[in-house]
Amino acid sequence: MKSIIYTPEQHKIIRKEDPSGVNGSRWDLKADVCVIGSGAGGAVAAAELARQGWKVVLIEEGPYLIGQFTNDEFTAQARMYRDGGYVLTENQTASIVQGRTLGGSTTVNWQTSLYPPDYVTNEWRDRFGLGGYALDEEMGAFVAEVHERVGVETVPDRLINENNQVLMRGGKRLGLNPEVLKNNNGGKCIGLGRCGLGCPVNAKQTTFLTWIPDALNAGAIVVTNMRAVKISDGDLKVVHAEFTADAYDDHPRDIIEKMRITAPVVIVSAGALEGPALLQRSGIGNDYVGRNLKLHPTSTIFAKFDQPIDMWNGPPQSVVLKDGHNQNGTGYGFWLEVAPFRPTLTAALMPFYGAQQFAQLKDYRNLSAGIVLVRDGADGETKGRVNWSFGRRKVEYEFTPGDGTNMLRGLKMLAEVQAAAGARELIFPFGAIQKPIPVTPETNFDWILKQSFAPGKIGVGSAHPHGSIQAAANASQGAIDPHFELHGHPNIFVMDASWIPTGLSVNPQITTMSAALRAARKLGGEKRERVDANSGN
Amino acid sequence: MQSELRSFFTRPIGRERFLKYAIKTFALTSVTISAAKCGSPAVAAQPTAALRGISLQEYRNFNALAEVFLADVPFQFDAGLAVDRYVYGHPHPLENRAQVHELIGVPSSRLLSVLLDGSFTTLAELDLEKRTERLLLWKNSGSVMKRGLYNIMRQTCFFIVSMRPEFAAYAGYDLNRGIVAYTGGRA
Repeated sequence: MKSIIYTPEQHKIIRKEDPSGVNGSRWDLKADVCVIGSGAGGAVAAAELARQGWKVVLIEEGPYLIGQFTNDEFTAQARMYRDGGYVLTENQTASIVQGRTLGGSTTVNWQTSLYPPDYVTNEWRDRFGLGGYALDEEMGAFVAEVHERVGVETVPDRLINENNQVLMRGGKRLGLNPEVLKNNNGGKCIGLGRCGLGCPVNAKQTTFLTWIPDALNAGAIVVTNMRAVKISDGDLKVVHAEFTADAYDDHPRDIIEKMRITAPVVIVSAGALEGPALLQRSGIGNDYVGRNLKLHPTSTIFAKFDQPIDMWNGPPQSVVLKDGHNQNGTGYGFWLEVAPFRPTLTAALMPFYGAQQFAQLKDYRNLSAGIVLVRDGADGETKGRVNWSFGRRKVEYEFTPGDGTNMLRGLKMLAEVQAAAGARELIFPFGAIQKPIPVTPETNFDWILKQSFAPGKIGVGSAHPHGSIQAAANASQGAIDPHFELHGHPNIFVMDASWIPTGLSVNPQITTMSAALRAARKLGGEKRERVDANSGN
Repeated sequence: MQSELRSFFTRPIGRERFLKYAIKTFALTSVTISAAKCGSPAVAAQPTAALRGISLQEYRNFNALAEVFLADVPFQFDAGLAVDRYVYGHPHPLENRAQVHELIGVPSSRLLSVLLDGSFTTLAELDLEKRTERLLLWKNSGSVMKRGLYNIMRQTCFFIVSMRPEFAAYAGYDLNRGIVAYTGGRA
């Protein structure tokens, strides 16, 4: 088989090149490893293993859309994000966005490139027996390698837009310490601000521009629009996958509808929502599969200014305020960033309805969206979980007391920053507040700390689900071991953001890539015992 | 009977679990009982074009929600038709169609009306004023499920209305903007 990306249009090639493998509309093939998912974890693992001589098949549920990215936010969400735009928790009170396209969320994320501070990696070591993650330890070299591959650089001043200047200006006026962020575009960014819709000029170094070409160059096969429905365990694993149509694409009729990939090693990189659901419906893994889901939950305050902000224009995230990150020395707290919400997400997140809502949307250009991101898990485990039940993936999440309190603290600081930056009115995410509140730099926001964070009382979202198949040295504390192999299921690995055992505290792309690279490099060197011994080669 | 049901639903223990299972039951069975009439003439109107995947009842249901949440929408907008096009207006339906059908089945479900509100009158059968009142009661309810339903119905209405180019134009966002480099930063 040619080492290419097999989209539905290429299925006719499959029939020609592998006639004995295609039976009707099902394609059976063998590999050394089947990687499920092409995002920050799977693409890295596929590239590294292919480089080390493994025969790699990578399947991706979503479509390959390079060259089709537009400025249409609604269509982008419906087409490139899981569940047609957003995943909802079972109680309908929190929405989660997650990419579902070749490249996974790296195709639609906002480029923020961070690695967690030492107090987080120390907690992984002390509580879960996961060593070497500090930047001055083994992981440092992997993070540096990832930075190099995806072009991580500090955002230049000329690209720090008005939305981010709100944090910079307000933070400085309050004596806080705003920092300029790093993005992953190798200096190619021209500030279109379309990161969340897919970068049309290929500046953002998503995995389909980096690790996936690396995997292809080393002989891997990539198949899009194929959703893993089940893994059968054994010395040889079988991944059963089904064709998943891109709703917007009238694909050829003569498509491969099912795949059956037989391999001694399987790597699950389907993300922290779909990954545990896949393992659960396959009957694989212990009780930690799906448990302790972390969302890095966010909430938004829209700040209205006298002048246009045009928050969509320019790189989405270039400034961060970390001052609230370590509340009372617990290691848990919040960071403040901004979000480049376009009209679709603005309308969905703004809490009003009817005339009040439309009156605010009329001033959309003058709005800045500040977000609080909480490092969840302050009380130990979260109240988050993923369950595969009655044929559906179900996501549950609500704040624990510590996480909810940190969210309120973050919203208070964010309001102070926005007011200090010159905002005239603030739109809070509390359902009980029916209209924008006029503010000045002198406004006192202590009242925010008394608000309820019960589900549905406050708007909550997430773009960073992680930690639902957490790693730990001991099976009594996690589902996978320190090298990401499932406890009790040899040769099934999980390499995506699911491994992270505590709240990560930062946007997860770089951590996910770096950890996957480390795990895949080690695994790659074990081909003889893991592949050759099981495949009879 | 209504007061007894309300009393039952205000018990602090067990209510959420009961409602959760009730709604799951609803979701599994997709129980929708056609409403005899749906509020205002605008809500009861027929779609302007053929529906591709949702039922006429679901069309009316979503318009009943939109009549509240999208009141004063600044352009002509048929919400029921838009939600039909969102899911079915492509070569293949969206993957979340089951969830959308569940959601837009809620306003005409008599079962849910009884369970959530102690009333045999469905949300879709209420006039605009009463429908708005009931939705606001959900919003401010002690029940997570009611607040959640309010939350997702409101969000979905605004998500759907944003599919229209007029919405972007209203907000001052240029859908057709080309590749234009950012020049607003500070050198």
